[in-house]
Amino acid sequence: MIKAILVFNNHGKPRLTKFYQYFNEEMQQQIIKETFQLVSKRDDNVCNFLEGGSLIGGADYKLIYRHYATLYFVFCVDSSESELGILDLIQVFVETLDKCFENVCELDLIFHVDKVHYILNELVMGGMVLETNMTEIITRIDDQNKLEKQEAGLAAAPARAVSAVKNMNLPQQIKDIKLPDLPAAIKDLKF
Amino acid sequence: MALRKVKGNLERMFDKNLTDLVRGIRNNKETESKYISQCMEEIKTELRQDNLAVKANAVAKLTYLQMLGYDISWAGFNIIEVMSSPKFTYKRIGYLSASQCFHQDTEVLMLTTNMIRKDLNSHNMYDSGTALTGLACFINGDLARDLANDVMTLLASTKPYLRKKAVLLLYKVFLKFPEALRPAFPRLKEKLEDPDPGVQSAAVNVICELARKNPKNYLSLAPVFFKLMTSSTNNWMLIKIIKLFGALTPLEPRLGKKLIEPLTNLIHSTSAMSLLYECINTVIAVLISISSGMPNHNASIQLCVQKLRILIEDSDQNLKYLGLLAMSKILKTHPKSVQAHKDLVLQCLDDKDESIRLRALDLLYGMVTKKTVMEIVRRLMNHMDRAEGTMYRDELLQKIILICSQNNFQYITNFEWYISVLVELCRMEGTQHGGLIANQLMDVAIRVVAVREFTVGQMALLLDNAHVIVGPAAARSSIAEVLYAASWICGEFAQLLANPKATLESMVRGKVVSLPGHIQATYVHNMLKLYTHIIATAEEEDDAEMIQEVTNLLLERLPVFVSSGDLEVQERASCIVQIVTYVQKCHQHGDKIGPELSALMAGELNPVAPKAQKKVPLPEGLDLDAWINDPPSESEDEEDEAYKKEIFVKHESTSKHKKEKYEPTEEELQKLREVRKAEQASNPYYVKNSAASVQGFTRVDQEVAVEPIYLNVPLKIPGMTSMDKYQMVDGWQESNKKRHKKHKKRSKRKGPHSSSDEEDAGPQAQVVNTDVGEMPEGAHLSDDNDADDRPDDDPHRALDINLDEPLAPNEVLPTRSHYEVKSRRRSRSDDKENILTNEVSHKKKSRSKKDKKEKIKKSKKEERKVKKSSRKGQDNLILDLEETVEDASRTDDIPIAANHINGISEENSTEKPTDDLDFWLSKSDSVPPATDEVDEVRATDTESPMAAATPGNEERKSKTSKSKKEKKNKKNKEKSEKKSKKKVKDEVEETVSRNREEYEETNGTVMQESESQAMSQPVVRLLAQDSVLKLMYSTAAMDGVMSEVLVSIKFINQSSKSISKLELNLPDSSSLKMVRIDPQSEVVSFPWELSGGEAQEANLSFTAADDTIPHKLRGFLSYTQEDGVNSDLPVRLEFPVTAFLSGKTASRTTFTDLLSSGQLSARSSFTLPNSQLSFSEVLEEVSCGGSMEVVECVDQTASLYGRSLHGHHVCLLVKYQESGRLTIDGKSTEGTLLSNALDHLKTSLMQK
Repeated sequence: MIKAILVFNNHGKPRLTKFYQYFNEEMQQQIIKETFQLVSKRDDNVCNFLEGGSLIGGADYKLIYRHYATLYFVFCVDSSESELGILDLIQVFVETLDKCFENVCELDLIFHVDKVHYILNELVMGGMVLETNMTEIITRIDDQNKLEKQEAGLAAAPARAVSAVKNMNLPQQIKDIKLPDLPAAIKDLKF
Repeated sequence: MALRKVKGNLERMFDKNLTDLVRGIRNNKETESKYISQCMEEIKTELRQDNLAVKANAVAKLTYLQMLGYDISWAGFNIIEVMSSPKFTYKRIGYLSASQCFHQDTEVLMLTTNMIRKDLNSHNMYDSGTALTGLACFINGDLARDLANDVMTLLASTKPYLRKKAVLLLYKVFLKFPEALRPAFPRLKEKLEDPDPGVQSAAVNVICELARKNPKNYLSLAPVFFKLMTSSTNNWMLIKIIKLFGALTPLEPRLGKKLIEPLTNLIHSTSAMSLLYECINTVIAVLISISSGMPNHNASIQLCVQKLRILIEDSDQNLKYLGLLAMSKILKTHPKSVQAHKDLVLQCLDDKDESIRLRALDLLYGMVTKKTVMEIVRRLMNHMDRAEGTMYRDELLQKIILICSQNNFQYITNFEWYISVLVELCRMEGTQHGGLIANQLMDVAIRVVAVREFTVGQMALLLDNAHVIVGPAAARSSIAEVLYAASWICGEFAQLLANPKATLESMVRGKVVSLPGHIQATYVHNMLKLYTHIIATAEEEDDAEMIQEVTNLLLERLPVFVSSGDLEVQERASCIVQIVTYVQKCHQHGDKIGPELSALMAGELNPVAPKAQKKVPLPEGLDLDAWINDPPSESEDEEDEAYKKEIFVKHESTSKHKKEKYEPTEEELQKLREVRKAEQASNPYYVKNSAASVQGFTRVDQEVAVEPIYLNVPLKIPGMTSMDKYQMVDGWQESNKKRHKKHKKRSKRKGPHSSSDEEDAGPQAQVVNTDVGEMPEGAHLSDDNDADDRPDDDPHRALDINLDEPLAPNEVLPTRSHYEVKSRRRSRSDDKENILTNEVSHKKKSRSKKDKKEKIKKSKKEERKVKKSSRKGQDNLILDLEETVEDASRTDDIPIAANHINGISEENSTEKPTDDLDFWLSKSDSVPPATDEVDEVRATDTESPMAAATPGNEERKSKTSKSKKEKKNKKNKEKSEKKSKKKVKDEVEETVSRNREEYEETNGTVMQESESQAMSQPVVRLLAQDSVLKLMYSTAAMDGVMSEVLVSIKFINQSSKSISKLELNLPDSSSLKMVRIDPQSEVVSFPWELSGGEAQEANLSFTAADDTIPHKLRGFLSYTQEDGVNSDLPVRLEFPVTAFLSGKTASRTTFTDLLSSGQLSARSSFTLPNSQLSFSEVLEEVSCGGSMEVVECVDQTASLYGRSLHGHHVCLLVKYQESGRLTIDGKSTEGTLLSNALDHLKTSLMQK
């Protein structure tokens, strides 16, 4: 069983947290902090296993992590998981992210944490490995994204346009401008 | 309206979405919390709106904030609203949020049951998928109970995606709702053979998780997993399976033997490191579980060790780490194989990676031998010098001590060396393990009499140089603890000191007051011991000057302690001052007080076993829980803790407070208790490993100005031992011997080893007193170690459920009550598969509760009948002889039938899987059977033991039972078979009698309770009849073990008078023989009397030499009526060929297998152009009269199957057309049998 999956950056800022066992928010933050401290002080050329911290797990648990550029991917697992298997799983996860976001970087995780969650949900379910075949995972994710697009349909077009505008990183003032009520003519155009 | 909507849409565009939120947080780094609280307010407003899109957006933002540590549980209801959206987009957001913040105690979850059910059953695959994923995160007991059925339904989904998720979810369902495990398990097991590899893998995953916690319940699945292991190529699944086997092998060593070969093959063939590693791990587990030798046992270990060496030598740190980890497992059972790689392990100690160094240390612990211990410890000490960071250094120190002290110093041959090591360790700066070293010093001093003198000498030196040990760094470490040990050892064994006075002086001198209180107390107390010793010796030698000197020394120095802040120190010091003053006074009068003084300290010291205190039997009438006085305000926890560490309790230690005996008043008791508490807190005879209790004092001490001594040179104390002189790798033993010869054994104590003379004084002479220690009489060390080590709240405790037992009728997954439709109809499949089909679809689920209740009632009734009839059976000799066949269509009877075939009764059926497993496992032990047999065996391999409880595979089973006989454990099995047969007899008789009772109710005709029941009830024929007596009979073939035909004869007394002396004279024919008690006699007498109107029954069994032709037997029944009239009644027993058939094995797969195999060479058919009967009547006639079992029935066509006593197969195809045209086609392995059977059927169908 996987007990928790944590992704945080080199400064310990959480980018994705998934706990398969309940901890309250305060405890979760503490675990993230502790895990970060454990993991971050390790060199890159040492092994990727760590006997679990005191907060999460216990004797039966291990932290298995990988460090990619600015991000740490940490899995907390018990002894029923294969250590090397989990390392592979992390690799699959990251490669899937890479495919889905096209050259994934930390910013993708920052702004699309929900999507990352959906991707993770296709790999791991309730703490158990669901699928490891990347093609299958990506098919499922694409299907669901298509579904979402269909639902959004036409109505989503203006929203997308607006968010595209927002994404242009316009100066704050422009963003804060509230649009006046649209003239009737435009409304008529639309319908 | 439309306008407002558009405006709403447009405004929504300018609501903050998740991206805006994230960006905002990033832009407000300084005022993050303020910004977020502002966003929270916005979110709250958004959640108040009706628009679901707005809500979904708000919930998405909340999910992000949750990750940052904000509690969002207040929005639970809104999250549920979003979850219930019909749009997948929003639903997904809702479920994600729920899975992040809901947990099993979330109250709003109870609102979700129906919504989630709707989603699970949604036609959109991804809706169900999302629901399944979410559920896996927040499922609770109620949801698990209510939704278990829906999850089960999804197991049968056509989409592998959903099946896969449903399977995984089942694990969570089991955890929260353990009652679901048994009813659901057969279905889960089926998924192991799902066509989709993903589903298969998920099922393996779930079962592995279950089995890991309760392995013994899953042992019977070993054959299935074995097959998967040898056939699958999916590494993920293989890893899981192999891990599972690792958990199973300790329970069943034979399984291990079977595994070795395929695992070895995998090790050789696989390229995946993860798989290789798990294989090695499991092989290790196997080797550990196999205690007795195996031919290629060593080869396997060598293979593992060799592969592990490759891993360890790999440049990949991960492989190195895992290699060491696995190596340490081998070490436990095969230390020799690992010791060969000592070089590698020592090399790893230099690794830059701390995890790897620690692993290597673990390995070293087990690698030491008598020969290598010195070398290894030396290497470790070198590492310690070089190691940076106290953490790792402490770890090293601890390991050194563990290595040396393991198994009562098993590997230490030279204790002087060990003491040197310990003394050297004392010089480690800043260690936290001072207590550990102190413990070791005391342990060796007490237990190893031979080196006591040496130890005492070293300790005296330590005391002399205490200022070095308690250097400036001492405040942060616990190294001062060694002084505790040193002072105690010097005091206790003062007679071994070379110069007691010098030692006393060094103890009294200077820096002692800066030590922690409990150490000071020990100092003070041991000063008295030393003083006593010096006085006693000096008196003997009349050395008045010496007496004068030491007395003055103490009187001069002790007042420092009298004014100590530590209560214990103070008390002891003042006490000792008084004693010394008294001694001084005595000496001034010229009295010798030496003997009296040493009496204070007299007594032999023995180790006391751990837990000894707890084992002291409670004297009768003593209630420890009762309060003697009113309870004091604070509890006395310390008391318990005090027991834990102390092994070295001395007799004298308590003497001080008990000098005078008096009747204490209440107040005094109170005072005493306080004193005692204080004493416990700082009793010098208790080793304390933590400085916690004395922190208060150390703080005081720090105020005392201590002039620190800074030493830049390595600490070398003249005379103090160093281990360097023992570093003679070769030939050290010899030189040691020499040195030892120089030593004289001056130990005058009555130690158990004091008798050893000088000749034995080599290393071996340093015998360790390894007694467990003193214990109260009758108490044993290992009295209370049987508890389950799992915590009470571990959900897996509840999952310790036997899965091999057949399901009871009341073990069903709860169904939704409002879906239930009252219906009396019981479909055949319902009955057969018990409940499981019931769960498959909602349509079938319609069985009402009432129906179920009835069933339970019925089975209870039957139980009662069993008891009755077994009593009956004892009275009845004939009944004991025979066995009968029962109505196979009845649910309750099925297991009996199936078990009977296997020769195992229902009671024994729980053992059955094990038997099967035994059989499976025993294969590897014996010579491999002939190939075709192997195929059969393989076929049974795939059969799960539970499936054996259904009648479907009788045929395979019976074949199996044949080959079983070749197996080794034949004898045992036969025994159990015999036993169980008896039981079966009882039960079977019961069944028959029940059937008869039913006949009685309906005057000899078959009661048609339901179509299915009537199906294969045997046809009852008239045997003979006169005015007084009517005889009915039915036949049933018992194949399998017995190969007999059972005839039940029912005697019905039609008159009002009683009938007695019933005797049946039935001579055997050439080919048909009755099984008789007395083979000589042709007469069977029935011991009972038939009163007026009563009916009785008897069972007779017959064997037929030829079962392909019909048989007849003629004879007569003689009886005597009440009035003495003797009558004879001619009897004619007819056995049509169908009487030799039984159809109990009809399952579709065996049937189709049979048809396709081409064995059925004989064919025959007949057609009745104009039958008067309906299709169901025809079917009934064929199946009952013809003793066939319906395999499949589609519209007006049915296929039936029967098997004769001698194993001939008969398959029939009945086709019925509306016009009344009936065709029966037959195929069989035996032509005569088939044609005779068809003839019989034809006649009986025509007659109707």
